Amino acid sequence: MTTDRHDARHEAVREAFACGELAADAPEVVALREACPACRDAFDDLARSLDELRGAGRAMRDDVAAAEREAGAPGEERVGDMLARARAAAGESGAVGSAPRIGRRPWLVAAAAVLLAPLVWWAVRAADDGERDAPVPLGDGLACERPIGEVDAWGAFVWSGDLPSAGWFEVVVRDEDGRVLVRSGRLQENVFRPTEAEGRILTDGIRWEVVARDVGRVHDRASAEARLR
Amino acid sequence: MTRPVTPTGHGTVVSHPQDLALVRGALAGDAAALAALQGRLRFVPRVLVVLNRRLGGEPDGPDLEDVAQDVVTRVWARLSDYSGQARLETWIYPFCVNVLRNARRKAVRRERRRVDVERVPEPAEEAATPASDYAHVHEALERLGPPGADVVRQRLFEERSFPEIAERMEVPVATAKTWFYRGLESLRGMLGGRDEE
Repeated sequence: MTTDRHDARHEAVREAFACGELAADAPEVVALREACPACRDAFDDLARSLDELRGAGRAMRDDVAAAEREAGAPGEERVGDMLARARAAAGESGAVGSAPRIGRRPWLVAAAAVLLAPLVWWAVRAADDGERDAPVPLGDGLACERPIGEVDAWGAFVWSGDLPSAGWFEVVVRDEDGRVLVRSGRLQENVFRPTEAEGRILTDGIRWEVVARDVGRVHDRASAEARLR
Repeated sequence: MTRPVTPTGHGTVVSHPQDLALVRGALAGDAAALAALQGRLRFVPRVLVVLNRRLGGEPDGPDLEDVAQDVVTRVWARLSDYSGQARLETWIYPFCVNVLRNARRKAVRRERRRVDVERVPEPAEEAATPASDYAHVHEALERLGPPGADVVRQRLFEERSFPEIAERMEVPVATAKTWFYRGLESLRGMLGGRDEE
Protein backbone atom coordinates (compact mmCIF):
# COMPACT_ATOMS: atom_id res chain seq x y z
CA MET A 1 0.00 0.00 0.00
CA THR A 2 1.63 3.26 -1.04
CA THR A 3 1.37 6.49 0.91
CA ASP A 4 -0.54 8.18 -1.91
CA ARG A 5 -3.17 5.46 -1.99
CA HIS A 6 -3.26 5.00 1.71
CA ASP A 7 -6.60 3.98 3.09
CA ALA A 8 -8.58 7.12 3.82
CA ARG A 9 -9.67 5.66 7.16
CA HIS A 10 -6.05 5.31 8.19
CA GLU A 11 -5.45 8.94 7.23
CA ALA A 12 -8.47 9.99 9.29
CA VAL A 13 -7.12 8.25 12.41
CA ARG A 14 -3.69 9.76 11.84
CA GLU A 15 -5.21 13.22 11.44
CA ALA A 16 -7.25 12.78 14.62
CA PHE A 17 -4.10 11.72 16.45
CA ALA A 18 -2.15 14.69 15.12
CA CYS A 19 -4.93 17.09 16.11
CA GLY A 20 -5.08 15.70 19.65
CA GLU A 21 -8.50 14.10 19.30
CA LEU A 22 -7.09 10.61 19.78
CA ALA A 23 -4.43 9.80 22.38
CA ALA A 24 -1.53 7.45 21.68
CA ASP A 25 -3.28 4.73 23.69
CA ALA A 26 -6.68 5.18 22.04
CA PRO A 27 -7.99 1.81 20.73
CA GLU A 28 -8.11 3.10 17.13
CA VAL A 29 -4.48 4.21 17.28
CA VAL A 30 -3.26 1.03 18.98
CA ALA A 31 -5.10 -1.15 16.45
CA LEU A 32 -3.73 0.77 13.49
CA ARG A 33 -0.19 0.66 14.87
CA GLU A 34 -0.43 -3.11 14.98
CA ALA A 35 -2.08 -3.50 11.58
CA CYS A 36 -0.15 -1.04 9.45
CA PRO A 37 3.66 -0.55 9.56
CA ALA A 38 3.41 2.69 7.53
CA CYS A 39 0.98 4.10 10.08
CA ARG A 40 3.21 2.97 12.97
CA ASP A 41 6.08 4.98 11.48
CA ALA A 42 3.76 7.89 10.82
CA PHE A 43 2.48 7.92 14.42
CA ASP A 44 6.05 7.89 15.71
CA ASP A 45 7.10 10.69 13.37
CA LEU A 46 4.04 12.76 14.22
CA ALA A 47 4.65 12.36 17.96
CA ARG A 48 8.29 13.37 17.53
CA SER A 49 7.37 16.38 15.39
CA LEU A 50 4.68 17.49 17.83
CA ASP A 51 7.11 17.23 20.77
CA GLU A 52 9.71 19.24 18.92
CA LEU A 53 7.27 21.91 17.76
CA ARG A 54 5.80 22.23 21.26
CA GLY A 55 9.33 22.61 22.62
CA ALA A 56 10.05 25.34 20.08
CA GLY A 57 6.78 27.05 20.99
CA ARG A 58 7.56 26.94 24.71
CA ALA A 59 11.06 28.33 24.13
CA MET A 60 9.69 31.11 21.94
CA ARG A 61 7.01 32.15 24.42
CA ASP A 62 9.53 32.15 27.27
CA ASP A 63 12.08 34.16 25.25
CA VAL A 64 9.54 36.72 24.05
CA ALA A 65 8.24 37.20 27.60
CA ALA A 66 11.79 37.47 28.97
CA ALA A 67 12.70 40.04 26.29
CA GLU A 68 10.11 42.41 27.72
CA ARG A 69 12.18 42.53 30.91
CA GLU A 70 15.43 43.32 29.07
CA ALA A 71 15.02 47.04 28.52
CA GLY A 72 18.38 48.69 27.91
CA ALA A 73 19.91 45.77 26.02
CA PRO A 74 23.14 46.50 24.09
CA GLY A 75 22.30 48.29 20.86
CA GLU A 76 18.72 49.09 21.80
CA GLU A 77 19.34 52.82 21.63
CA ARG A 78 20.76 52.40 18.14
CA VAL A 79 17.80 50.58 16.63
CA GLY A 80 16.91 53.72 14.67
CA ASP A 81 20.33 53.71 13.01
CA MET A 82 20.00 49.99 12.34
CA LEU A 83 16.67 50.52 10.63
CA ALA A 84 18.08 53.40 8.59
CA ARG A 85 20.99 51.21 7.45
CA ALA A 86 18.61 48.38 6.60
CA ARG A 87 16.49 50.72 4.50
CA ALA A 88 19.59 52.13 2.83
CA ALA A 89 20.78 48.60 2.04
CA ALA A 90 17.42 48.01 0.38
CA GLY A 91 17.91 51.15 -1.70
CA GLU A 92 15.42 53.18 0.28
CA SER A 93 15.68 56.48 2.12
CA GLY A 94 17.74 56.88 5.29
CA ALA A 95 16.97 57.40 8.95
CA VAL A 96 13.42 57.66 10.25
CA GLY A 97 12.34 61.27 10.11
CA SER A 98 15.57 62.38 8.47
CA ALA A 99 14.30 62.78 4.92
CA PRO A 100 15.18 66.31 3.77
CA ARG A 101 12.25 68.67 3.52
CA ILE A 102 12.35 70.25 0.10
CA GLY A 103 10.43 73.29 1.28
CA ARG A 104 13.31 74.18 3.58
CA ARG A 105 15.97 73.48 1.02
CA PRO A 106 15.04 74.95 -2.37
CA TRP A 107 18.59 74.44 -3.62
CA LEU A 108 17.87 70.71 -3.57
CA VAL A 109 15.09 71.21 -6.10
CA ALA A 110 17.36 73.25 -8.35
CA ALA A 111 20.19 70.73 -8.12
CA ALA A 112 17.83 67.86 -8.85
CA ALA A 113 16.41 69.71 -11.86
CA VAL A 114 19.90 70.23 -13.29
CA LEU A 115 20.84 66.61 -12.74
CA LEU A 116 17.61 65.24 -14.16
CA ALA A 117 17.41 67.51 -17.21
CA PRO A 118 19.45 65.22 -19.54
CA LEU A 119 17.34 62.23 -18.46
CA VAL A 120 14.10 64.10 -19.16
CA TRP A 121 15.45 65.21 -22.56
CA TRP A 122 16.42 61.61 -23.40
CA ALA A 123 13.03 60.29 -22.30
CA VAL A 124 11.17 62.83 -24.44
CA ARG A 125 13.36 62.00 -27.47
CA ALA A 126 12.84 58.27 -26.97
CA ALA A 127 9.09 58.73 -26.76
CA ASP A 128 9.08 60.82 -29.92
CA ASP A 129 11.09 58.16 -31.75
CA GLY A 130 8.66 55.44 -30.74
CA GLU A 131 11.32 53.83 -28.53
CA ARG A 132 9.33 54.09 -25.33
CA ASP A 133 9.42 50.33 -24.76
CA ALA A 134 13.03 49.76 -25.71
CA PRO A 135 14.63 47.58 -23.02
CA VAL A 136 17.36 49.07 -20.92
CA PRO A 137 20.35 46.73 -20.95
CA LEU A 138 20.94 45.63 -17.35
CA GLY A 139 22.83 42.37 -17.91
CA ASP A 140 21.35 38.90 -18.00
CA GLY A 141 17.90 39.39 -16.49
CA LEU A 142 15.75 36.62 -15.08
CA ALA A 143 13.30 34.83 -17.34
CA CYS A 144 10.96 32.02 -16.33
CA GLU A 145 11.41 29.00 -18.60
CA ARG A 146 9.10 26.33 -17.20
CA PRO A 147 6.38 25.71 -16.26
CA ILE A 148 4.68 28.33 -18.42
CA GLY A 149 1.21 28.13 -19.94
CA GLU A 150 -0.51 24.75 -20.02
CA VAL A 151 1.44 21.77 -18.73
CA ASP A 152 0.68 18.10 -18.11
CA ALA A 153 2.12 17.94 -14.60
CA TRP A 154 4.03 20.02 -12.11
CA GLY A 155 7.74 19.31 -12.15
CA ALA A 156 10.83 21.40 -11.61
CA PHE A 157 10.68 25.18 -11.86
CA VAL A 158 13.40 26.42 -14.20
CA TRP A 159 14.53 29.90 -15.14
CA SER A 160 17.45 31.62 -16.83
CA GLY A 161 19.51 34.49 -15.51
CA ASP A 162 22.58 35.21 -13.46
CA LEU A 163 22.98 34.49 -9.77
CA PRO A 164 24.08 37.65 -7.92
CA SER A 165 27.47 37.33 -6.27
CA ALA A 166 26.94 36.40 -2.59
CA GLY A 167 23.25 36.15 -3.38
CA TRP A 168 20.66 33.53 -4.05
CA PHE A 169 17.41 32.78 -5.85
CA GLU A 170 14.06 32.36 -4.17
CA VAL A 171 10.93 30.93 -5.74
CA VAL A 172 7.42 31.61 -4.47
CA VAL A 173 4.48 29.74 -5.95
CA ARG A 174 1.00 31.18 -5.42
CA ASP A 175 -2.46 30.06 -6.36
CA GLU A 176 -4.60 32.15 -8.68
CA ASP A 177 -5.89 34.21 -5.75
CA GLY A 178 -2.38 35.15 -4.71
CA ARG A 179 -2.13 32.81 -1.72
CA VAL A 180 1.38 31.46 -1.15
CA LEU A 181 1.46 27.70 -1.72
CA VAL A 182 5.17 26.89 -1.69
CA ARG A 183 8.30 28.86 -0.96
CA SER A 184 11.68 27.50 -1.99
CA GLY A 185 14.20 28.82 0.48
CA ARG A 186 17.59 29.94 -0.82
CA LEU A 187 18.75 28.39 -4.10
CA GLN A 188 22.13 28.53 -5.78
CA GLU A 189 21.02 26.96 -9.06
CA ASN A 190 18.46 27.99 -11.65
CA VAL A 191 16.06 25.24 -10.70
CA PHE A 192 13.65 24.58 -7.86
CA ARG A 193 12.38 21.05 -7.35
CA PRO A 194 9.42 20.95 -4.98
CA THR A 195 9.22 17.98 -2.65
CA GLU A 196 6.49 15.43 -3.16
CA ALA A 197 4.51 16.99 -0.33
CA GLU A 198 4.92 20.45 -1.82
CA GLY A 199 3.88 19.13 -5.22
CA ARG A 200 0.62 17.91 -3.72
CA ILE A 201 -0.15 21.40 -2.41
CA LEU A 202 0.03 23.00 -5.86
CA THR A 203 -3.34 23.93 -7.30
CA ASP A 204 -4.42 23.52 -10.92
CA GLY A 205 -3.53 27.10 -11.74
CA ILE A 206 -0.48 28.85 -10.32
CA ARG A 207 1.57 31.99 -10.66
CA TRP A 208 5.22 31.63 -9.72
CA GLU A 209 7.90 34.19 -9.18
CA VAL A 210 11.66 33.87 -8.99
CA VAL A 211 13.69 36.56 -7.27
CA ALA A 212 17.45 37.03 -7.40
CA ARG A 213 18.52 38.72 -4.20
CA ASP A 214 21.06 39.12 -1.47
CA VAL A 215 20.67 40.43 2.05
CA GLY A 216 18.51 43.51 1.87
CA ARG A 217 18.42 43.89 -1.91
CA VAL A 218 16.38 42.43 -4.72
CA HIS A 219 18.44 42.32 -7.92
CA ASP A 220 15.85 41.05 -10.34
CA ARG A 221 12.59 39.18 -10.49
CA ALA A 222 10.48 37.36 -13.06
CA SER A 223 7.13 35.64 -12.92
CA ALA A 224 4.96 33.35 -15.02
CA GLU A 225 1.58 31.71 -14.95
CA ALA A 226 0.94 28.03 -15.57
CA ARG A 227 -2.03 25.71 -15.47
CA LEU A 228 -2.56 21.97 -15.63
CA ARG A 229 -4.25 20.75 -18.81
CA MET B 1 10.67 54.37 -2.47
CA THR B 2 7.70 52.19 -1.60
CA ARG B 3 7.55 48.45 -1.96
CA PRO B 4 4.61 46.26 -2.86
CA VAL B 5 2.95 44.40 -0.03
CA THR B 6 2.18 40.78 -0.79
CA PRO B 7 -1.34 39.46 -0.27
CA THR B 8 -2.21 38.57 3.28
CA GLY B 9 -2.62 34.88 2.52
CA HIS B 10 -5.80 33.01 3.17
CA GLY B 11 -9.03 34.72 4.02
CA THR B 12 -9.39 38.38 4.85
CA VAL B 13 -9.21 38.15 8.63
CA VAL B 14 -5.77 38.77 10.09
CA SER B 15 -4.95 38.04 13.69
CA HIS B 16 -3.01 41.23 14.24
CA PRO B 17 -4.48 43.95 11.99
CA GLN B 18 -2.78 46.80 13.85
CA ASP B 19 0.63 45.24 13.33
CA LEU B 20 -0.17 44.67 9.67
CA ALA B 21 -1.25 48.30 9.25
CA LEU B 22 1.95 49.43 10.95
CA VAL B 23 4.06 47.30 8.61
CA ARG B 24 2.22 48.48 5.51
CA GLY B 25 2.60 52.08 6.61
CA ALA B 26 6.32 51.61 7.21
CA LEU B 27 6.80 50.00 3.80
CA ALA B 28 4.94 52.89 2.23
CA GLY B 29 7.39 55.29 3.89
CA ASP B 30 4.94 56.76 6.42
CA ALA B 31 7.03 58.56 9.04
CA ALA B 32 4.74 57.75 11.97
CA ALA B 33 4.63 54.08 11.03
CA LEU B 34 8.41 53.97 10.64
CA ALA B 35 8.83 55.52 14.07
CA ALA B 36 6.42 52.96 15.55
CA LEU B 37 8.27 50.15 13.79
CA GLN B 38 11.52 51.46 15.19
CA GLY B 39 10.03 51.20 18.67
CA ARG B 40 8.86 47.64 18.04
CA LEU B 41 12.30 46.66 16.73
CA ARG B 42 13.76 47.33 20.18
CA PHE B 43 12.56 43.79 20.73
CA VAL B 44 15.48 42.56 18.58
CA PRO B 45 18.42 43.48 20.85
CA ARG B 46 16.37 42.51 23.89
CA VAL B 47 15.52 39.02 22.71
CA LEU B 48 19.06 38.50 21.43
CA VAL B 49 20.33 39.04 24.98
CA VAL B 50 17.81 36.47 26.25
CA LEU B 51 18.65 33.93 23.54
CA ASN B 52 22.39 34.36 23.89
CA ARG B 53 22.16 33.91 27.65
CA ARG B 54 20.01 30.81 27.32
CA LEU B 55 22.42 29.30 24.79
CA GLY B 56 25.52 29.87 26.88
CA GLY B 57 26.39 33.54 26.63
CA GLU B 58 30.15 33.06 26.23
CA PRO B 59 32.17 36.26 26.74
CA ASP B 60 33.96 35.64 23.44
CA GLY B 61 30.70 35.12 21.61
CA PRO B 62 29.35 37.26 18.82
CA ASP B 63 28.88 41.01 19.15
CA LEU B 64 25.16 41.26 19.79
CA GLU B 65 24.93 44.73 18.28
CA ASP B 66 26.29 43.38 15.00
CA VAL B 67 23.82 40.52 15.20
CA ALA B 68 20.99 42.95 15.86
CA GLN B 69 21.95 44.97 12.78
CA ASP B 70 21.93 41.82 10.67
CA VAL B 71 18.52 40.85 12.04
CA VAL B 72 17.03 44.29 11.38
CA THR B 73 18.41 44.24 7.82
CA ARG B 74 16.87 40.83 7.15
CA VAL B 75 13.58 41.75 8.78
CA TRP B 76 13.30 44.88 6.63
CA ALA B 77 14.17 42.92 3.48
CA ARG B 78 11.37 40.44 4.20
CA LEU B 79 8.86 42.79 5.79
CA SER B 80 6.56 42.67 2.79
CA ASP B 81 6.01 38.97 3.58
CA TYR B 82 4.45 39.81 6.95
CA SER B 83 0.78 38.88 6.76
CA GLY B 84 -0.50 39.84 10.20
CA GLN B 85 -1.17 36.21 11.11
CA ALA B 86 1.20 36.47 14.08
CA ARG B 87 2.20 39.27 16.43
CA LEU B 88 5.08 41.22 14.90
CA GLU B 89 7.52 40.14 17.61
CA THR B 90 6.56 36.49 17.07
CA TRP B 91 7.23 36.90 13.36
CA ILE B 92 10.60 38.58 14.02
CA TYR B 93 11.72 35.97 16.57
CA PRO B 94 12.87 33.29 14.06
CA PHE B 95 15.10 35.86 12.33
CA CYS B 96 16.81 36.48 15.70
CA VAL B 97 17.23 32.74 16.31
CA ASN B 98 18.72 32.01 12.91
CA VAL B 99 21.06 35.00 12.69
CA LEU B 100 22.31 34.48 16.26
CA ARG B 101 22.92 30.79 15.61
CA ASN B 102 25.02 31.59 12.55
CA ALA B 103 26.92 34.31 14.40
CA ARG B 104 27.64 31.96 17.32
CA ARG B 105 28.96 29.34 14.93
CA LYS B 106 31.20 31.87 13.26
CA ALA B 107 32.49 32.97 16.67
CA VAL B 108 33.26 29.36 17.62
CA ARG B 109 35.12 28.78 14.34
CA ARG B 110 37.04 32.02 14.82
CA GLU B 111 37.96 31.05 18.37
CA ARG B 112 38.95 27.55 17.23
CA ARG B 113 41.35 29.04 14.73
CA ARG B 114 42.75 31.46 17.28
CA VAL B 115 43.49 29.32 20.34
CA ASP B 116 45.32 26.09 20.99
CA VAL B 117 43.49 23.18 19.39
CA GLU B 118 43.48 21.26 22.67
CA ARG B 119 41.46 23.94 24.39
CA VAL B 120 38.53 24.03 22.02
CA PRO B 121 35.74 21.48 21.89
CA GLU B 122 35.94 18.74 19.32
CA PRO B 123 33.28 18.82 16.59
CA ALA B 124 31.62 15.79 18.22
CA GLU B 125 31.10 17.75 21.43
CA GLU B 126 29.54 20.60 19.53
CA ALA B 127 27.30 18.25 17.59
CA ALA B 128 26.12 16.67 20.82
CA THR B 129 24.81 20.03 22.04
CA PRO B 130 21.01 19.93 21.86
CA ALA B 131 19.46 22.19 19.27
CA SER B 132 17.99 24.28 22.06
CA ASP B 133 17.52 27.34 19.87
CA TYR B 134 15.13 25.32 17.66
CA ALA B 135 16.50 27.17 14.63
CA HIS B 136 15.88 24.10 12.48
CA VAL B 137 12.21 24.12 13.52
CA HIS B 138 11.76 27.74 12.46
CA GLU B 139 13.59 27.07 9.20
CA ALA B 140 11.41 24.05 8.49
CA LEU B 141 8.26 26.08 9.08
CA GLU B 142 9.57 28.86 6.85
CA ARG B 143 10.16 26.31 4.13
CA LEU B 144 6.74 24.75 4.64
CA GLY B 145 5.02 28.10 4.16
CA PRO B 146 1.31 28.84 4.42
CA PRO B 147 -1.27 27.64 5.09
CA GLY B 148 0.28 24.66 6.93
CA ALA B 149 2.94 26.66 8.76
CA ASP B 150 0.42 29.29 9.85
CA VAL B 151 -1.88 26.68 11.37
CA VAL B 152 1.00 24.85 13.06
CA ARG B 153 2.30 28.10 14.54
CA GLN B 154 -1.12 29.20 15.74
CA ARG B 155 -1.87 25.79 17.25
CA LEU B 156 1.47 24.94 18.85
CA PHE B 157 3.22 28.29 19.32
CA GLU B 158 0.24 30.47 20.20
CA GLU B 159 -1.79 27.59 21.70
CA ARG B 160 -5.02 28.52 19.90
CA SER B 161 -7.86 26.04 19.55
CA PHE B 162 -8.84 24.75 16.12
CA PRO B 163 -12.19 26.60 16.16
CA GLU B 164 -10.33 29.81 16.95
CA ILE B 165 -7.79 29.19 14.18
CA ALA B 166 -10.57 28.36 11.73
CA GLU B 167 -12.41 31.57 12.59
CA ARG B 168 -9.28 33.65 12.17
CA MET B 169 -8.45 32.04 8.83
CA GLU B 170 -12.06 32.06 7.67
CA VAL B 171 -12.15 28.37 6.87
CA PRO B 172 -14.15 25.45 8.31
CA VAL B 173 -12.66 23.77 11.39
CA ALA B 174 -12.14 20.58 9.39
CA THR B 175 -10.02 22.48 6.88
CA ALA B 176 -7.87 23.96 9.64
CA LYS B 177 -7.31 20.47 11.04
CA THR B 178 -6.45 19.06 7.63
CA TRP B 179 -3.97 21.88 7.00
CA PHE B 180 -2.42 21.17 10.40
CA TYR B 181 -2.13 17.45 9.71
CA ARG B 182 -0.77 17.94 6.20
CA GLY B 183 1.67 20.52 7.56
CA LEU B 184 2.96 18.00 10.09
CA GLU B 185 3.20 15.35 7.38
CA SER B 186 5.22 17.73 5.21
CA LEU B 187 7.52 18.41 8.16
CA ARG B 188 8.38 14.70 8.43
CA GLY B 189 12.06 14.43 7.71
CA MET B 190 12.58 18.17 8.14
CA LEU B 191 12.48 17.92 11.95
CA GLY B 192 14.16 15.50 14.34
CA GLY B 193 16.50 17.65 16.41
CA ARG B 194 18.76 18.40 13.47
CA ASP B 195 21.01 21.40 13.64
CA GLU B 196 22.86 21.24 10.35
CA GLU B 197 24.76 23.98 8.67
